Order: sequence, then structure tokens, then C-alpha cells
Amino acid sequence: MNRYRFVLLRPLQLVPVLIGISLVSFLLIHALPGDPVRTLVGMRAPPDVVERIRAYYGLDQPVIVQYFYFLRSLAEGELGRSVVYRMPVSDLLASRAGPTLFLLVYATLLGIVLTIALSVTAARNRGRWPDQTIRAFSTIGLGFPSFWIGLMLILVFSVRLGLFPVSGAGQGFVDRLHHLFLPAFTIALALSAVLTRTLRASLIEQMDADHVTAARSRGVGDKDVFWRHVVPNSLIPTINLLGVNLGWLISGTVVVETVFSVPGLGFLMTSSIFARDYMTVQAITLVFALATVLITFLVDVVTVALDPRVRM
Amino acid sequence: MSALLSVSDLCIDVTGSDGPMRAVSDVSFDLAEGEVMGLVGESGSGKTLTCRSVLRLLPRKVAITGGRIELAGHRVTEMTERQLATVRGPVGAMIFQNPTAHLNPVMTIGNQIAEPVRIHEGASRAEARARARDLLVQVGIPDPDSRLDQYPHEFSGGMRQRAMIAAALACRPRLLIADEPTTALDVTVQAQILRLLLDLRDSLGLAIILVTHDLAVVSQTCEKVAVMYAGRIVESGPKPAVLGRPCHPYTEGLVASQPGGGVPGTLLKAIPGQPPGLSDRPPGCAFAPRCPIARSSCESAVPPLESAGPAHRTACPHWSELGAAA
Ligand SMILES: Nc1ncnc2c1ncn2[C@@H]1O[C@H](COP(=O)(O)OP(=O)(O)OP(=O)(O)O)[C@@H](O)[C@H]1O
Ligand SMILES: [Mg+2]
Repeated sequence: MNRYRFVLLRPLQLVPVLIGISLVSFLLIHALPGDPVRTLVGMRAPPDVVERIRAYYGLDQPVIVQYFYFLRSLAEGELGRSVVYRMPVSDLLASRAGPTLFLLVYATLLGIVLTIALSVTAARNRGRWPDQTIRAFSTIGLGFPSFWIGLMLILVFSVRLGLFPVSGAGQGFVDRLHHLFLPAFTIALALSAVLTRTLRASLIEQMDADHVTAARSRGVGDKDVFWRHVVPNSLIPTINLLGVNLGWLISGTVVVETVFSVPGLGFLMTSSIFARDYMTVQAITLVFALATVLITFLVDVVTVALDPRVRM
Repeated sequence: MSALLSVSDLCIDVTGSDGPMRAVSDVSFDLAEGEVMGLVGESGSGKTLTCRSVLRLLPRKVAITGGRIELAGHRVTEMTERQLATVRGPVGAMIFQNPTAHLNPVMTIGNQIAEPVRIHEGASRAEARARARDLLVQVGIPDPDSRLDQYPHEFSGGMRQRAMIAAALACRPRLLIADEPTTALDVTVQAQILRLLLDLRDSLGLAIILVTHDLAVVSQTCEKVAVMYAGRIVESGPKPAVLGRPCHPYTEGLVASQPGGGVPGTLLKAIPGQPPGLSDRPPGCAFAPRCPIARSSCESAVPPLESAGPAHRTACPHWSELGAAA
């Protein structure tokens, strides 16, 4: 059981990572050109109003002081105020996190199902047409940007066929599944294009592995050999790749939410960048970074559970 | 006594980039219940392909193209994959050279041993586990209760080989094929594993095909020997006859090149040259280019096996000149 001790130790190791993340996100946004107060009040506002608003948001302080304000309020769970929405950033994020979280889980599950179905079909038909078709799919899938795939899906399934809504996130579980299907499917396609190559290759490698021959030598039939010996050993490298790609997946939601007008964090991120809404962008960056760290951690837990040889 | 295993005129082809090549030709041998046969020969002579084909466990692109194999009344060469799965385990089983690669790294040892019991005998989880525990005791693994739940990487090399033997024996087979079971192990462990195999033969009446490079191992363990060269059996017979009075120049060369048998301080006599590769096997006797007593007639046609004594067969027509030449 002490193989799982890292579950307790890992959060401690994350403190420096989190400080690094906060510093980088803070500095990045301040390196951008443009004045958030001017964006807020317009070019013709009198100078004293501008200064008052600047002082109200703490934007008249030196950058380093602003960073410490930022850290202190972070420690208090306070993410600052959005200059655009005129509300606490934490409330703003809370109202937008739901669709994004739903989309991420939805896309990941769809992606996993798609990956397993495609890889198993390809590996069991090695060299024949299903395999070749699936390999072509994953090569082509890697080449197309997800915003283009998203737009095509909208064009065909929403505009032409009217099967899915063009935008929004829906209310309630079933409605949400329906609304978010195309965005989730767009992400799942990209994800499975990457993962299918690895999983197919590991499945094929494992089908010829010595321990599989040994299992067959004891009379374990094809089906049992495949699901009990080949698949568990093949999943290990794929899970690691999934971990790497989930980080990328989070940033992928920014594009996909924008294309599909999903009112989530990714969409909020793009609009806040254009509006120079420092506090909001910073907070979303933090949340995304945190989510990436958390997912990496979860993947480690799954890896340890799947592979008894691994120690963290 | 009718044979447990009977292999006749077995031919195996390997498909390379330029078509099929014959890897094993016209191999025939019989094995009785409880008998131990050594299968020896240089690397690449076809020992692994021959013994794997007994359970039809050939790799991709390797296929049996001729001959018949009959194991305990089952016509192995004519069975479907589904039928073969019922023979593998309860009738014949196999252990391999490299126990590390041949055990599933993410499955507990106990589950790997119990799996065939559940499949072939429909045993419950608890029954199969109890059998696995007994087997661990039988193959000499101490502390079986905690060992059952460990993974292969927690075992030493020798213990892994014992665990693989336990898994192979789980459904009480009558034939065990052991392809170089000790080559990957330490010398001291090698002796223990061979001892274990012989004990199991005695207690279970197991017939064993033992593939090895080591004639010393053959002389300690086997009742009969088959010597392979370039895909053919060139000599076979009772161990004392084959090793004591070899009737093929290749066997004679192997015996002379073994350490230990000779006088201390004398040089070992290696056989000069290399065996031919799959693509350049000569039309006649494949050993002729390296043979001290070869003559031009040896190179024209493959010599058939002929009798050189009771149950003793050789593929050298000039065998009567041996001994005198050495
Ligand atoms: N999977 C394969 N694909 C192609 N050729 C093969 C394959 N397996 C074996 N061969 C060839 O068949 C011949 C016989 O091989 P085999 O493994 O039976 O020899 P061996 O006597 O067991 O040798 P070793 O002592 O090295 O284990 C060799 O020339 C080998 O190169
Ligand atoms: Mg071999």
C-alpha cells in the first residue's frame, strides 16, 4: 500500500509549482500592451476619474506590489474584481466552470471510448482494410485543426440536419449532453486521433509478447488473452499519453468553446483577453494550470493502479 | 507401450521477405509417457520451432507445412485454435527460456497460475487459488500465501522459473515442453530447476522434452536424445548410446567440444565453421562443409536416417568410420 504514499506527499511538492504558475500568469498579463482602465471607461473620460478607478483596482501600485496584493487575496480565496463584468472574479468563474467541466469530462470519456473501439478494431484486423482505414483516420485527424472540424460539424449536423443546437450549453443533464455533444465530439476526435496510434501499436506489440504466448500455452483462449493480458499491458503507455494530452485538451476547450459559443471558462478567457480584463484572465490561467496539475496527478494515480512495477 | 507423443515428417516453413524458406525438415520422433528426451543442437537448428509446433505455438509467419503430430490421441496438426486451447494446459504445457518475459508483469503470480484451472476445470476463484497455493509449495516456493499476491518483478529469476513451472503444471499435463528452461539462470539455480523437473517427472509421471545446448544437462537428466542440425534430426537414440558412442560426426563434435568430460588441461575441440543459414542450406548433407569425414557423395543428396544400433538412428552413411577417425 505504501506505493500510494505519494498521494499524500504530492500536494506538498506542488507549492513551488503553484507559486511559479501564479508569477508567470501575473507577469504575462502585465506584459501585454493596452490599458484596462481606458478600456473600461473609454478614451474621453476625465483624468481624475481614470486615476480614481485605477486606484480602486490597485492598478496605480508598482507591479511587484500588485503581485503581492494578488498573492494575498489569492490566499484569502479572493481572485479580484472583473473590470468588465463588475463582479468578483470568483463568482464569475463559478458561474462559468460548470459547462467547461462538463465538456472536459464528456470529451475525455467520448475520446476514450472512441480510442478503445478504434484501436481494438485496428489491432484485431492488422493489415486489413479496417486497420488501414483507422490508421488513415488518425493520420488525417492529426492534420486538421479542431476549429475547422468544429465548424464542419456545425455546418453538417446543426445547420443542414438540424440535429444539434449551434451554441449554448443547455440546462439539466440530458439537455446538456445534447448541447455539448458536438463540441465534446470535436475534442474527442482530436484526442482519439493521437491516442489510437499509440494504443494500436501497443496492442499489436503485446499480441506478440512472450507472456501472451505463455498464456496461450496454458490454454487461455483468444478472447481471454486479449482482454486479460494484451489490453491491460497496452493501456499503460496510452494512459501516460492521455495525461500529457489532457493538459493540451484544457487549452483545446478555449478554441472549441469559442467556436461553439459555449458559455464556459474557455470562451470567457478569449473575451477577457480582448477586453484586457486582467483579473479574469489571470484567474482563468490559474484555474487551467491548477487543473492540468490535478489531472497529471490523477493520471499518476491511475498508472500506479494499473502497473504494479511503478513507484512514484 | 504406445507413444504419448508422436511426431512424423514434420516440416516448418518461415516466410521471409523473399518467400517461404524451409526451417525444419522431416523431423520424426516418439515420446512415451514419463520419458525425458533431450533436444540438442546449435543455435538456429530448429529446436524451438520443433518443440513449439507440438502445441502449435508458432510465431507469426511461421507455419507447419507438412507432417503429423499426435499428442495423447489428439491430432494436433489438424485442430482448430479453439480445440487447441483445450489441449494446451491439461494435456501438454510449455515453459520457456526467459521467465521474466514469459510472465505477465501486471498480473499476480497467483492469478497467472489459477487462470488455467478456472478455464479448464471451471473451478471457483477460491478453489483455483487453493490449487495455485499447492502448486507453489510443490515447485518449492517458500511462503506461498504471501507469494500468491505478488507480481513477477517481486520474484528472483529462479523463483520466476519455478512460478512458470507451477502455472504450466496447473492442469496436470502429461507432457511438459521445456525450451532451455535454465539458460537464463545462475549456475546454482540451474541445477535446482533441473532437479525440480526430474522430481516432478518422478512424482507426476510427466513426459518432458528438454531443449538445451548443454550435453552435460542431457547426460544428467534424459533417457533419450535427438540431435538437430540445420532443421533436421541428424542422430537420435538412447542417451548412453548417442553420447557414449556418437554415430554422426556432428554429435561427435558436440561431445568433444563439451567442457568437463575431458582430461583437465586439454583444449576443447570446437567444431570449425558455422551452420548454414536458412537461405543457403546445401542440397546434400548440411553438415558436409564442416565434416572431417565428408566426401563428394555427401554433397549430392540428403542422407536418410539409418539404424546404428537398437533404437539408435543416424543420418550419416559413413558412421561406421567414426571412432576410428577420432
Ligand atoms: N519468428 C521467426 N521468423 C523468422 N525466422 C524464424 C523465426 N523463428 C525462428 N526462425 C528461424 O528458424 C530457424 C530455427 O529457429 P529456432 O528458433 O527453432 O532455433 P533454435 O534451435 O531454437 O535456436 P536457439 O538455440 O538459438 O534457440 C532459425 O534459422 C531462425 O532464424
Ligand atoms: Mg530456441
